[in-house]
Amino acid sequence: MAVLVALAEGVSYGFDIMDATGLPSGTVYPILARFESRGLAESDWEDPRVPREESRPARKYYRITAAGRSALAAELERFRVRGLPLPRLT
Amino acid sequence: MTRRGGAGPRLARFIVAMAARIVDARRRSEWRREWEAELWVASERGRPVLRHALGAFRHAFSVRRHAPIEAPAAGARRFEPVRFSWLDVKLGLRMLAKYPGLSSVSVIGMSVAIAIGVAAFSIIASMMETTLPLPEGDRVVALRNAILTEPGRNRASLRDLEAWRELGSRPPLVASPGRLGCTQPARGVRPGTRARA
Repeated sequence: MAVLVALAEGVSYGFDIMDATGLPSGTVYPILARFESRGLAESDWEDPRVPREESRPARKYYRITAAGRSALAAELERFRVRGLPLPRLT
Repeated sequence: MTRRGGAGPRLARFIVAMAARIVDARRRSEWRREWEAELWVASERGRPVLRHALGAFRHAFSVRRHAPIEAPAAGARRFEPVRFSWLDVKLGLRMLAKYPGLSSVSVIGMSVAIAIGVAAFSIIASMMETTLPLPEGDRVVALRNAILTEPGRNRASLRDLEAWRELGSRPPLVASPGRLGCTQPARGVRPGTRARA
């Protein structure tokens, strides 16, 4: 859920999601893969000119889909009904 | 683009390369590109690269598990089991009849090979599968103490094993298909002790 919140907040790079959620790579990337397979998120490679100019490898960015947003809304509602603390980004 | 040196990043790249083998071949290069970038960023930001790289294994398994099932491409080779055909048998027999020399050499060769295999197996089996030093030792699968006077206790010690071995070379141990009985008290064996086989 924290990963979905991070995506909804506009954090799109895997490493930044790790930083925002405080989760390790072995947790974040499998979650992203699962979101992609379920259509909750989608990914795209950045424009190849950017990494070339910055002399670094190309990055893959993730973004939340409409299905992901509705799943997040449903999940947040469930948290609210149960009185559970909402996940916060660091 | 610069590549960071040092043992840590090199080992991290090696770990990612190993994890990449888990990923489906069609997605492998893209997956690896993503992780190359991740390692680069981890190194740039001064994070523990090795720890970061270890996450690649879980990601690889996850990608493999959640990969969509795609239809095979047109003309792609698929595995097909070998089908039995009487035509193969007919052609085989015809070939054997046509070349009797080759056929006899094949038959003799296979017979000799089987004989050598059986002989070698018998020798090794006789050397390795030694029987217990008891009458009909090859039929004994377990030895157990049963103290008749104290039914709750049923323990055996190394001393008991020595006693059984000693008894095995002497007549007092009585053997039957189901049981081994001790007719006289032996060292380490209480009177009335019975061994099962």
